[in-house]
Amino acid sequence: MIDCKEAAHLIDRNDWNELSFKEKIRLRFHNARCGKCRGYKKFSHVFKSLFGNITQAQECLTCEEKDEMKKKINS
Amino acid sequence: MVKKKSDIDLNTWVDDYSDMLFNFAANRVGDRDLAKDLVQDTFFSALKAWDRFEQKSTVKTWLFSILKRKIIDHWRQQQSRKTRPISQYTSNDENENNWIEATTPNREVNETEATIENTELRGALMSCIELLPEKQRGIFIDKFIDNKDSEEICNEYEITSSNFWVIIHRAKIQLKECLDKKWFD
Repeated sequence: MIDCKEAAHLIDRNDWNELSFKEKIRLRFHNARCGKCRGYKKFSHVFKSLFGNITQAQECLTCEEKDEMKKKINS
Repeated sequence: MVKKKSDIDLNTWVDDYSDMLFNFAANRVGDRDLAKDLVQDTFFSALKAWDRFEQKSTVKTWLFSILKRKIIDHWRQQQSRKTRPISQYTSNDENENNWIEATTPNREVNETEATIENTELRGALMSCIELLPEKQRGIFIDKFIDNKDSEEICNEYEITSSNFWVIIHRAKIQLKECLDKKWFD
């Protein structure tokens, strides 16, 4: 059975889908009897979702906006 | 070759770098017009500081470092200007004429409020990230904001995978404590 330190390490990796099947099972077994780690798992998930809005799709300037910028910078 | 200020072609700067700078800024400030202004300011500042640019790094890296400072300044200003939620400006007295409710549908008020809260939370988050030690901050941003592959980050920083996850874990705990103080208190 893994300890809480190792479980936290697995939870961090799990948020990025970087766990093997075996590791997922080990984490599940640990979390089934550890409320502290279940709490950390919830926090970790919410924490990662905070960054969802920051990393949005690619944004680009239009040609008009670039022309306008060129005019302003050169003036 | 070292270029003189007079040799700089600003139009080429806009063509070559504006999109990547704009994308970087827009993803961090969440406002298109503001991001455009920040990119423009970056070009102005770069032009002003050109004589001090030692040209040890590329122009691209240098422009990004200027833009990052501008974004941080923006977040600092946001943090010092604590915005009250819009609902606090609306009155509980039904008889009193409330211009927001009179002119804006409820859904729009809620969305605006949510946007402001998101912007403030993002500001708090970014200012907390700025407090992390340099290496930890770089690794954290690479993973959580730039979504880089863990292996790529490990190679870049010459650290082992377990070191990497320890750094990420510590950063998360530090950011949680910082957010508890800045946002939830």
